[in-house]
Amino acid sequence: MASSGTDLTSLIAAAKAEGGLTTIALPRSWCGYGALLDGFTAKYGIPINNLNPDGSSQQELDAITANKGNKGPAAPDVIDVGLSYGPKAVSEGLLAPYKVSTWADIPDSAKDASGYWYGDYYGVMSFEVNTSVVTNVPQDWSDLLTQGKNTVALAGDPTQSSQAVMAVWAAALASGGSVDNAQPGLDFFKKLNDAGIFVPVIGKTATVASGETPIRIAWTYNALADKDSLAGNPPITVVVPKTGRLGGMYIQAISAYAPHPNAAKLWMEYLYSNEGQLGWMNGYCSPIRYDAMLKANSIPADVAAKLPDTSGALLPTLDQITAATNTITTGWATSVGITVK
Amino acid sequence: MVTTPDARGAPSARRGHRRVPWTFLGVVPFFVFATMFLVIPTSYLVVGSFRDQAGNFTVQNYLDLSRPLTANAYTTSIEISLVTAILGGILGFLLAYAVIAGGLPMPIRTGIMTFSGVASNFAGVPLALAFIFTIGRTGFVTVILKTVLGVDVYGAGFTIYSKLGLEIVYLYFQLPLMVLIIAPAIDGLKKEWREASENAGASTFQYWRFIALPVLMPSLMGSMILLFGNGLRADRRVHQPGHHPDRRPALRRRPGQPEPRLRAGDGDGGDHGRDHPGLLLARPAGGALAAMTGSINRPPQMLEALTHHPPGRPRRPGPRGLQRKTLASWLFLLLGIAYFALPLVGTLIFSLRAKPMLSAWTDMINDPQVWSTLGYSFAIGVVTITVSIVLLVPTAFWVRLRLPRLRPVVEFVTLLPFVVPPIVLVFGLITTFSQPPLPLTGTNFGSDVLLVCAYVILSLPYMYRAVDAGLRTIDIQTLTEACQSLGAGWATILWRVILPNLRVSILSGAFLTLAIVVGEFTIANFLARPMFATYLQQISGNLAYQPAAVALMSFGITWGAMGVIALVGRGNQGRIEIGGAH
Repeated sequence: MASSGTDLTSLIAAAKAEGGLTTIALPRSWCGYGALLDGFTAKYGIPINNLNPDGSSQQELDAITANKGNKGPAAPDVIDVGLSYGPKAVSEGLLAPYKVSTWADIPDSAKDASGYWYGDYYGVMSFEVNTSVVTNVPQDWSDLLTQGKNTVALAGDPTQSSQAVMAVWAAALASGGSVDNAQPGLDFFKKLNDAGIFVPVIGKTATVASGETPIRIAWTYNALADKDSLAGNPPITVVVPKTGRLGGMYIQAISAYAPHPNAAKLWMEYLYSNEGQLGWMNGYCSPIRYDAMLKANSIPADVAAKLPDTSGALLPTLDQITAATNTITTGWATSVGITVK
Repeated sequence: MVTTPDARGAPSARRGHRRVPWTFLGVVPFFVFATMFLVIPTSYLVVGSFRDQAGNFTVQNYLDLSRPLTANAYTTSIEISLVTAILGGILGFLLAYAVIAGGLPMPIRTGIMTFSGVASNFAGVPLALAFIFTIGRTGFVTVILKTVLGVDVYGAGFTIYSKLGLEIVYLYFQLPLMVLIIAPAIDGLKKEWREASENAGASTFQYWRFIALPVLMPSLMGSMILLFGNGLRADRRVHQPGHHPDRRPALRRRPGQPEPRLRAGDGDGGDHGRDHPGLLLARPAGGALAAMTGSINRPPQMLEALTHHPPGRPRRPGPRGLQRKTLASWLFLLLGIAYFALPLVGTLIFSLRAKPMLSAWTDMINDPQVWSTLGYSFAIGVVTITVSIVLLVPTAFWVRLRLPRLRPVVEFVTLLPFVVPPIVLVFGLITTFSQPPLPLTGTNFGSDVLLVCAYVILSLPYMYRAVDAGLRTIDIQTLTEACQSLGAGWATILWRVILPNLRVSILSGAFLTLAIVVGEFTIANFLARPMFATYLQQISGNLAYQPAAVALMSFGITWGAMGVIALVGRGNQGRIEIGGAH
């Protein structure tokens, strides 16, 4: 697969001939995907069939497996999954390698050397604060401990959801733990819960808006997208805490059974072009080519200004993710002892 | 007179072995359909649950279930399901009794029955949010109690996130399910028994203790078991909206590796709007449970109750106790209405907090794709209903007429969809039908066909039960003989005689099927069909007020559709009586 030298013109022609692209689990409000999906179709005239927008990473792999023999509209061409699902999908033989023309800009630590998967974007944990309820806006994790009762919620159940796991892990970093020691995060949430500050319900846009969970801990891009969609009703402030900046990275990959393999490659070229990277930035995600683009001066000032300040964010390795996830999912019930519903 | 080929009336000895294959031909379409679209697709997954990542045999996936965390979650589930099954059973029975035998006007009965149809399918995130908006810490009822009446329920230690709070939420679908299931049994209580016992000097207590309750007991127990199963199943959608409800550890998890879930739909805030397997569906797993334990000999006739008012039964209570009983019925009804209306009001109030006030509603109403996907969903619904009728009416008829001993088997098969999660079904279907001999998923039309077949499977428990319950009320043996003696063929009998007699039952089954189809998400989604539920999921991310409006909208539309069907069904209550046949 001599991809770096791929002639883009012939790739476009081949992709157009295939006449479609099937994506999976791309919420339109997630990382600016709505505009990216529309932009791709507008640019190349290739319609996109976006399956299961709220699907999980595991479901994306399941969909590839179930559709191995299928060339119809239900078979995904490309996936966007959590980091740990990349090696897993490779071991199950579900991916086809491809190296986009901007391959060199992707840090080696964030891609598979053979081109089976490649990091795409990341965010850090932030506080999404309904300021019509909360006056004492927290600036760091320790400030959460001085909030009023029934104020702070997670965006998921830490025994199930990675967004919640990362929140506990980030709290660990901010309270004496490290990427290799997540236990202080559990202790932090126990304190929060014992003080009656923690609300044991999955925080959603609606519960933040209604004031039921006036502070929600969520990815920067989710919190900022909420802020946009609520448009001041009620007013939302998104705070990236000073400490505990832990990056959560996703990866892109092409299915080995893609019905539209050329459209899939073209989609990757689009995502990893400056246009695609800026699309993610417009959705408040930090794209993987950010540093290279910054150096090349190809980030317009207004787009750069939109991005939250995630400087100093740590990107944990796969092994660290596995270990911390284990600590938190198994330790939550015993250490914190409350069920998030 | 045409000699009938019918074996009825002939001694069973005449049924030689030669007849058997022909008789069985009548149920072949049903079993072929069930095998193709239910048994084969799901067997892939069952086999898979005994395999490890490398494909070797293992039981580790099942052993993982006993890990403390999992076990603890199951204990809580069981406790909540048990409490809501008993409480929902009792309250649902009382409400159903008040509505059916309490001397209330007929339109109220129709209204409550159709409402129960929708409410028993109300689940997932919209349900949880509805209660948070109502009795959450900032819910409007909580606030009113505190500011107007000075009652601080949260100060008193109540919280919606406690077990009690969850139980209150669960009752929202448990209670209506009970109303639907138990209604036919209450209908079956004969007025004469009450009168006879009163004539014999029995007190009301004695009537209930020695007559009514013993008669109702099997139905009550069976229904409560069904509710229990329903609670367990629903628990995975209300209790842990973040956990994909269908992703049971036994089937999907790899051993010893809690998988980091790194997507929106893992509950990290992405699953707004509706729960994946469909907002309108909290399908009772307990049906199969009950069937297997044999606790209910006759499956609940929940559907028949919806529109069917048995003819010729006096509905007026005797003069004695009329006042008190009717009063109590009204009281119960009002309490029931308050409980069921308040969360909807809470949702409405929240949806109106959008700025400008009605924008959440106008956004949705002015979106052409809302209506085009709704149209598509209703079209798929109509086709599904048609296929169901064509498949199930002859089957149920034939089983009752000629193969009564096969009934338990057929019933068991119709209950299977209760225990097969939609995600398992859809991946099984895709795997099976993406390759020869039937590569249906390759085209849009093929995918539509597959979608309809999947929905016929999903609605199987409801539709079959409805048809079977309808057949029970007519004397099909005599009707068939009469038709045959007049020279009618099987097609004529089914089309001109049996079908018209089943009109009401079929309509009841039809609107639950419609509710399922309109609300179903998982299957439509993975088959890439432009259904209403999938479209809503597409647009509701990061929105706060619109999903609330949409939840109410689909609740209202479904209720309205059911009301229309109920009215149409009632418009022609005349059954073909077999006058003088006896």
